[in-house]
Amino acid sequence: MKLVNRTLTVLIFAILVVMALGWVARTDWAATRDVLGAGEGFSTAIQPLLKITAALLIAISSVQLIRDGYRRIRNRVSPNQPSRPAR
Amino acid sequence: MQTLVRPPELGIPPPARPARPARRGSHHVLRLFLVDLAIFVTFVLVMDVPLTGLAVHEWLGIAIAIGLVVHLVQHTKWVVTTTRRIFSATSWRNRLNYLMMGALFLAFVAVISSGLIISEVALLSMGITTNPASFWVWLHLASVSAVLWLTALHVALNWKWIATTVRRYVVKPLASVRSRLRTRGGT
Repeated sequence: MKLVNRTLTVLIFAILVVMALGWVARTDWAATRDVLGAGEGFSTAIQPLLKITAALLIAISSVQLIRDGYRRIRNRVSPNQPSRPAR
Repeated sequence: MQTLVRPPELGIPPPARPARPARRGSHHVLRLFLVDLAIFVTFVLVMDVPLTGLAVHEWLGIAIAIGLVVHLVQHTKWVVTTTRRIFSATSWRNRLNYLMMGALFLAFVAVISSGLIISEVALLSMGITTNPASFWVWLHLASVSAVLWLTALHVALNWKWIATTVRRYVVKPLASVRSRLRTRGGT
C-alpha cells in the first residue's frame, strides 16, 4: 500500500508539471523559445558520449574542489587562536 | 556446585550462539545501486540517438521514465525528511541536493513528456496518435542540456556514496575472485 501511495504521489507531481508545461505551450510564453535557442542536437554517435563524460568530469571535480576548499577554510586555525594541545 | 567445562579438543561442538538479527539495509543498498546503474546505462544510451536510432530511443525513454519513478519511490523517505527540514536542521549539501533534485525532476518530466508527445514510433505502435507541435519539439531538445548537466551534478554530489558502493559490490568481489583464481593457479 505504501509503495502504491508513493508511486501515485510521484506520478501526480509529474502530471502537475506536464499540465503546467501544457499551459505554457498554449500561452504567449511559448514564444520565449525564440530567445532561448534551438536546443541540443547530436549528429554523430561519439558526440553525446563525449559530452556526458565531460559533464561528469567537470561536475565531479568541481564539487570535490569546492568541498575540499570548504573543509580547509572551516578547519583553518586563525593566528590569534591558541593552538590545540596535542593529544 | 561444580560446573563442568568441556575442553575443545574432545571434538564436541560448542553450544550454538543465539543467531544475530540479519543486517538491515545491505540488500537495500544493492537494490538502490542496481536501479541507479540501470538508469545510468539507459540514460547514456537514450542520449545517443545516432547510435540507437529513433525507435530504440523512444522505447528507452519510456524505460527511463519507469526507472526514474522507481528511483524516486526508493528515495521518498529522504525527500520527505529533507522537505520537513529544509528551513531548519539540515546541511547545506542536503539543501543543495534537494533543490537540484527538484530541478532535475522538472527537467526529466519536461524531456520525457515532450518526447512522448512528439513520439513517431513507440506511441503509434500502441495505437496512440501524437501531435508534434513545434513547442514540444523545441522543449524536448532544449531540456536535454539541463538534464545532462543536472544529472552530472547529481552524480557529483552523491559521488562518495557511488564510490563506496562500487568498491563494495564491484571492486571487492572482483578482487576476491581474482585472488582465488591466482591461488588455484599457483597450486
